[in-house]
Amino acid sequence: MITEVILPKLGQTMEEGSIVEWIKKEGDAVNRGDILFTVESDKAVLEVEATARGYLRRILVREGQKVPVLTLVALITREAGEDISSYEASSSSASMPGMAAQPAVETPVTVPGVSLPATADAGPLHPPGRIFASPRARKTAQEKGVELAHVAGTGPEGRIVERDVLAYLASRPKATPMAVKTAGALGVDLAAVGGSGVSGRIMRADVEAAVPVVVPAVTPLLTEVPAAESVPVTGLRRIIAERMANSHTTTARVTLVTEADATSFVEAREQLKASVSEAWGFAPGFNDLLGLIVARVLLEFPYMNARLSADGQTIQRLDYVNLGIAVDTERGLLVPVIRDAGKKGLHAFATEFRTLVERARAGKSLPDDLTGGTFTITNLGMYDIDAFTPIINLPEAAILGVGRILLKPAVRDGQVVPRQMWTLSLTFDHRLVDGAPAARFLQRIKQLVENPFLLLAMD
Amino acid sequence: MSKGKPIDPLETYGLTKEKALDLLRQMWEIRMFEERVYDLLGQNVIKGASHLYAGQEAVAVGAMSVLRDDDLITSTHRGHGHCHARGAGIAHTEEAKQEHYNKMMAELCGRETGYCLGRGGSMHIADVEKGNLGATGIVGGNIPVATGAGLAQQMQRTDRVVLCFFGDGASSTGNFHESLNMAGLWKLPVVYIVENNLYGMSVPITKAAAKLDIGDRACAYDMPGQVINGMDVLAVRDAVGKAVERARQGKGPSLIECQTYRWYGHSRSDPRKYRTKQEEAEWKSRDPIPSFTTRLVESGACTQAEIDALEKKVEDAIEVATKFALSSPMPAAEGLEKFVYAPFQWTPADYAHERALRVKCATGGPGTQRISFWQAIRDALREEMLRDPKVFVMGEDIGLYGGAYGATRGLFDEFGEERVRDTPISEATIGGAAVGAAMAGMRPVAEIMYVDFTPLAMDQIANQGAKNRYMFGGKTIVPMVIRTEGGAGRSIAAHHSQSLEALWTHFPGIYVVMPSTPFDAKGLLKAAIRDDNPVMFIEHKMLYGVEGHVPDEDYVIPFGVADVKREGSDVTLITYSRMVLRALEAAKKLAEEGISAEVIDLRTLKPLDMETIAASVKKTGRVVGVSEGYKTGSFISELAMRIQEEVFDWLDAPVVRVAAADVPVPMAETLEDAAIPSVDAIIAGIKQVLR
Repeated sequence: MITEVILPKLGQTMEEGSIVEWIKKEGDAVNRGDILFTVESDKAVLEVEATARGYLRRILVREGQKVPVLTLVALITREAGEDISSYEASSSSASMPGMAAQPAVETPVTVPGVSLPATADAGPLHPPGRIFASPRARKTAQEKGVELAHVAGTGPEGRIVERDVLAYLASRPKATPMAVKTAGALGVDLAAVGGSGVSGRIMRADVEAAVPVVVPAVTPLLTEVPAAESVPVTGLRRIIAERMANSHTTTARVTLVTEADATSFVEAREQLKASVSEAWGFAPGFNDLLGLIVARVLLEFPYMNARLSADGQTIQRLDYVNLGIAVDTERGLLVPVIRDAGKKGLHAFATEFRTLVERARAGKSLPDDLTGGTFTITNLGMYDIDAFTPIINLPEAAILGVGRILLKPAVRDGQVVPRQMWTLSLTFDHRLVDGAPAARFLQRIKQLVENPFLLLAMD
Repeated sequence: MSKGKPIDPLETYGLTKEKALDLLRQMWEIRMFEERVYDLLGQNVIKGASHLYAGQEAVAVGAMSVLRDDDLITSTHRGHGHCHARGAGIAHTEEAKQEHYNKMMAELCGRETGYCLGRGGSMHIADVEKGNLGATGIVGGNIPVATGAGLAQQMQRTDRVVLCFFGDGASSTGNFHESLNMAGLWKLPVVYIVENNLYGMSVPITKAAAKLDIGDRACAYDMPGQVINGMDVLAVRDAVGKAVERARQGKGPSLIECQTYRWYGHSRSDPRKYRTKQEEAEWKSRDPIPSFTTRLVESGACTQAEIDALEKKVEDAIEVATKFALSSPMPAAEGLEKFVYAPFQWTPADYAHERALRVKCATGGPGTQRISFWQAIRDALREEMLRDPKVFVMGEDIGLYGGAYGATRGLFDEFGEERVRDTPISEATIGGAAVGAAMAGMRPVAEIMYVDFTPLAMDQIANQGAKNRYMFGGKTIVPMVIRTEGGAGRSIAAHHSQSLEALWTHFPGIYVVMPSTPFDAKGLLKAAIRDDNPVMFIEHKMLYGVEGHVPDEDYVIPFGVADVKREGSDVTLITYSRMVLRALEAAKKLAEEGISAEVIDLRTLKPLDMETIAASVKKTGRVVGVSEGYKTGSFISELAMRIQEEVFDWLDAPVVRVAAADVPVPMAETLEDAAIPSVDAIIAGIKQVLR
């Protein structure tokens, strides 16, 4: 089996590049993720990784050669002596149907927490509301991991029936089960990935390759000191690295910190736990309750439930809240999204959150679990952290960092009394929201935490 | 009346002293039982109805005293006296007598240890094994049953007699007239005993009967009738004894009216405003118990001491019985559904055999023959009658005429008029006699000529037949088949064209079977006859001429097995009887349009084969139910609900019903065709569910 290695387009403006150095030599064994060569573009010297396992069978473009992007530069074969006679004949500019066609910045690659503009594939994204589907259609959708909101119904009164779900599945790009799994874990939208397999089927390699690496040139000095352990920056790590850097350099971050008296909040939670744990089969947690509060407050402060459009020209305010709650998993940080959280009751919210976390921890997240968020909550309280400055989950407008609830002395009516104090840190993007409005938002959250009964008075 | 020594009743009536004391004892036992029951009712320990017999003891005791142990009785809602006199009469040891008394009280208290395991209670108490065919809550409901039991004795050539008790109120019912007519016609060994206590609940007989002396009505039924003093136990014994002897010798039935009185009201909530205190006092002065004891003592037949000792004995016995009842457990809720049906007798071999034959007869060939539906019915009856002498056929015009649709053609010639029995036009008693005959050991196949007439027999078939097994604690079976036919297509309009299966599926305790082919008809009818449960077997008038293959060998079709008559993948049609043929036609037409329809013939509506239905729904996701019953309350409405309950998640659309219009079936062809589901209507239904 032959894998074509092309010069990737590593940047929106890159049109051509010259190969600086072949790290692997012809005949070398290569593994996925091994650095094959370095290339210089107009901006930087960049590394290109192998996307297949096997042997670097033939180098077609030498060091120092400048070629247009997407040029075929080498061949990797599965077996050492595999026949490549078909390539010897043709010239070097076979364009590959495989690699992701879109450049990194433009790519509507789905990464955790980013809400996408609707791609052509996804179909009409219904605003949250009643979906009419036959029982059989629901069953099929659930079994195949289809979000009914994406499916158009052709039954009576527009009801979604089984054939509609099947038609939706048929129109989606075909992907191998491994590719689907990987896409879910990495938060990659399959619609944005080209398939290199049979009949254009998306393979796992395609999914992993769909997220390019952006790494600045490494100075030689560092390589002199041998590392105790080398962890390649690939997969989820690479995505996080890229996104965090992007967010940090792009947004105008300001962090507001406040301390809320959570004594009543803790009490309310204890009482709820006592009342419903048996009936629900689980005890509602602080994250559930805080999430409920935050979701509803976001509906009161739509400018906080906003995002910047892809072209950076418009601030879009949303009237539904898809709340992401950051979760630590074996693979790393994932942010499952609870859809339409502002309209859900505590039971529904908590049940859904638990289901999403289970899937995330098991590595079985569905693609839609990790996308479409409009606001994120990240909680480090269990590690004794009070205040911190979280990084905004682009393209959202803000993120709420949650610290620990700690019994501390506080002053009430001139007396020093022990109270459960909770530090909340709101990082917001000053490009989209100003300080005072952001502060009012945080203050309102604080108010509800301190007086949970006010939830009853909300719309 | 001359002075001097009173006439010795023992001598006059040929009684031994022992027997006399036994009569007295039974009357006391009844009286004390009723008084205790009244007490317990007042304390709300006994729940529900209890209609007390106190005052009428002489009738039950006197009548029962002439019976043999193997005779039979039927009783009424006011039947504690009958049940006791019968039970005490056949209990020949003290232990047995106390046990009987205990079981009666326990049953009234709704206990697991009662005669009917707490399921029947006061009004439905029975001991079928010992010849008490049970009481009924329907006034007059036991009269046809007794008549059928009498028929069974005649057919089995026993010399056993049936006593049928009922009141003046019941003598106004149709059941009374039909049953006495039938018994008089066929000379059945039944003694009909009317306990005229002058009131049917609150209505006096003067306001209920055109002719006050009920006994005189016997002349209309070619049997002797008389009116006697029901307060005199010996007078009753004498009259009933003569009537029983007459019946035993095969001379036929009698009607005996016993004039009597009940001390209490109709039930515990009755303030008895319709009777005067004076009248009550007058009757009380004729209390059968003191009048009997007086006679015995004054004539020197017994001493007062002996009588007092007996009374004390009964007082003790009632205490024991009460204690027994109140310390007995109530039946457990888990046992709620036991005894509704007699258990299935089909073996796995029967199911496999039927499946194999089904396949064979679908195509025909060696070992099968092609016959029509009416022949299949006739052959099934014939084969079962040859196989089991207890099987017989009765109904209107089924004898020489061969049945309205020819389904019994030839049976009369082969088996004769006793086993292929034409009946008078008396639907209720045709049904009720079938119940009684079945309970008394026969296996009747009674025909109701049109399903439209089955409501006339609904009480007897559904209230008595379908319920007796359960009400009597599982201690009887009613192995009867009611054959009938329905359906439209002959322009005979609303009283001869209906499909009323939905009504019959509603009652627990009776199966409903509706075959569509000769193979199904023959196998299912044979199965119905062999089954120990009541079966409503509904044929279709338009199917009698339809032909199909049946096997040469003996076979039965177990109940609860639907037949997929056509396999398909796009839509499931569920139907039965004639609509199967129309559904198959519709499926054939739609196959040309590329629609693949699966057609399921239920064959038995009760019991229902949900397994086959569920498998089909899982396959296609779309269901059309087709029935010739009126749409509202049709059986397919029940079916749709079962589908929703069990395979909801597999449905891609709501179930579509194609049923008859909610219109009395009209006579004019154009209207009749519009009222009944046509092939086009079925096709339209299929297209609707596929949208």
